[in-house]
Amino acid sequence: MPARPHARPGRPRARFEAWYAGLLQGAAVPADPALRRAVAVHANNAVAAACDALASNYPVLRAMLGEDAFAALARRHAIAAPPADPRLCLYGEPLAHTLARQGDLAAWPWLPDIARLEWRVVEALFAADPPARPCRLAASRPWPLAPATRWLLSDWPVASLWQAHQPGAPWPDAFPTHGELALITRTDDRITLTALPAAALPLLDALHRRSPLSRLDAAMLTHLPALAGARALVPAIGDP
Amino acid sequence: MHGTLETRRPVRLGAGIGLRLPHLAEVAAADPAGPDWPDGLWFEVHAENFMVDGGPRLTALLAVARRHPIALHGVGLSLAGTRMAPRAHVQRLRRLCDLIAPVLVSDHLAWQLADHAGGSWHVPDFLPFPRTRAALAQTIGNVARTQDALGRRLLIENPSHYADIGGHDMPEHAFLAELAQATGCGLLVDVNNIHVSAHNLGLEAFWLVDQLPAGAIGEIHVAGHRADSASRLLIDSHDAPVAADVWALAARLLARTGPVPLLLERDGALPSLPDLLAEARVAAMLLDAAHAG
Repeated sequence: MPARPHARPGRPRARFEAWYAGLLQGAAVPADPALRRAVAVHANNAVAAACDALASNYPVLRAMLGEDAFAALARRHAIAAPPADPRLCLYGEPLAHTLARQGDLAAWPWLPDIARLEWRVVEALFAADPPARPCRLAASRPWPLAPATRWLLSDWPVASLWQAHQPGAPWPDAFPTHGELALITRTDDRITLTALPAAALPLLDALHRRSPLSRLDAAMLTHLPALAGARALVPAIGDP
Repeated sequence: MHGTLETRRPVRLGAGIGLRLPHLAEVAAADPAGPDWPDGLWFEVHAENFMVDGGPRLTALLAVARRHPIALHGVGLSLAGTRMAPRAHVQRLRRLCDLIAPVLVSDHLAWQLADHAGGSWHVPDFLPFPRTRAALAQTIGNVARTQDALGRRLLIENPSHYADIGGHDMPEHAFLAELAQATGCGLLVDVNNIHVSAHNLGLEAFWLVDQLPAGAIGEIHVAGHRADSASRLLIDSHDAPVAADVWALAARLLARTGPVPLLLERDGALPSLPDLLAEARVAAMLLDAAHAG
């Protein structure tokens, strides 16, 4: 007689896990008060860990929103899009999306871009180190971006806003009234964020596509020294 | 580029402390010959915090690892689950082991991947499961496969419990003993988990400690807990000094195991590093007694 599907090893266990996962997400409430509290402890621990990770990854957004508003945002995000990966230091990329859907932030339209910028800072912080040996430049080859290099073009002065919220940074008399292209680099294990002219974006895109140096037009090349100076490119030798 | 540390010679581990991120830079820059650093000091870190491609956090860990033994404690392998951690996660742990050359590597006796809206929710906690024969067989397979993939022995940590979910075929100590015997894995016994679980389930903590297979125990954790504000439960919170009852459990277990690495864990309301080192002196004294005994 063939075994019934639910008698196969693993099936009852999978059903138990699905049942308990449902309890964690509030799909049902256990009648037993002890189990009810146990589920609440596990759910609270998991959501708190995710919220702590978001608070760590989005310090500028947190400062702009204030602790209570950020905590509410983080909790909403952690419940809607909890971590799938145990590396909580890399949790929270879509927070900008959660934020953008929040209607009551219409008076601060730059906040989603601040979140996008901070996510790129997280990526830069944990990106690979640049190669120890400098690459040799040649016109026929690309000049690789450093692994930590990121950028964001925004309609808002996100670079200036981010810089003003760094510990000990001076508060400017006024913020720029135009958008900014923010360049993020990591030098000597420190994150640096600088504002570039928006006209540097085609160069960044071309370098990202690994275009050979010979394919970069004159307008692009004018921005190359600024990128090299900011260590956005891997160390290189030679004259293409 | 990060260099890879050479394989370590066997070292006698004294008292260790859980090294949390707020203390990382301080420990990386500290003089290990300083007066506050006890002999045999070692550190345990949460493995997932360092599974990154590069950057200052990994650099700091390497600086610590050049001067102190490091243990990697993970929450991501889902060893007691029907779904194991993705292969990429195991490979990341392997790469970190190759880089850091840890003296111990451990993870939880738990399942950690919950279904969520068609995807997965990684829950870094001791989610409970019925200790059935089927669960044991699957956990044995998961631990064996992971040890093969890592090329090294794992230590498996006993859970903390908040409710008896029922449906068990065997007590926890028997489950752990069979798991260790079948796979060759060791056990990481967290005596705070035993204290919390005994309180929450109405069991006798000393009895639970006495049932554990002493020969398989490769590491002991002590940590703090707190009373739940909404029930009579104790919560495995790691946000308070170690309670006297928990130190007593550690001493009782050490009397059976002899000296094994003893680690002080603290995650919340983190005190200063000197204060943590001062608390770890209690652990060092217990180990001294175990060596003398």
